[in-house]
Amino acid sequence: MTSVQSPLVLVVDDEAPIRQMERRILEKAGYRVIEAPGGVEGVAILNDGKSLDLLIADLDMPELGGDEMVRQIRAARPDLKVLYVTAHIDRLLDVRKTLWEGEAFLDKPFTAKGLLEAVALLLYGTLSAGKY
Amino acid sequence: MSEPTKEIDVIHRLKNHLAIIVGFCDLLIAECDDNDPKRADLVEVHTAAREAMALMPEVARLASKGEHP
Repeated sequence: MTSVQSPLVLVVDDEAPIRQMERRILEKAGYRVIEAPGGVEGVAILNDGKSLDLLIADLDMPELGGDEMVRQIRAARPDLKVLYVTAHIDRLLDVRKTLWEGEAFLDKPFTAKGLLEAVALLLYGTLSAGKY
Repeated sequence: MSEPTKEIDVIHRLKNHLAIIVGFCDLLIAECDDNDPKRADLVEVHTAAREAMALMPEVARLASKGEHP
């Protein structure tokens, strides 16, 4: 973790309601959340040196998809934990036969419990999802 | 990744809508008191959305075969 504060999560998704929903679920569970509306903006935040604990990235975004966004910042952030959120799990597995350590994916649609379990698993190695 | 077919794009959009319905239902139900009269209505919406989620693999299978669900 980057500090004694609660983990900081960057949510990158071109769908504003998805970002808002993920933010509310995560904040309710005690996480700090910042948002970006696309891959380009996500890269800018990551290149800004912000101390993130987790990136939640939509795979399918118009200008720069989640996979390419992560590829661009991997050299500078080799340890960044990434949760790919996708409605196209088959397409992800077509291009990424294996995920890096510290990476996971979550198939849309997902429940609040599913999101919190995936985040907890990446950050703490446990499935605990709190009240959901 | 390669460009999605029209069928895959429609399924993608449908999954996004379902994700929004299920996620916000989860939030609202968690915020409701047990005796709140809105709770049962929200649970109905949530249950229907979860059942629609469960149908998505079948919808995707039919779409990939060019069949109409």
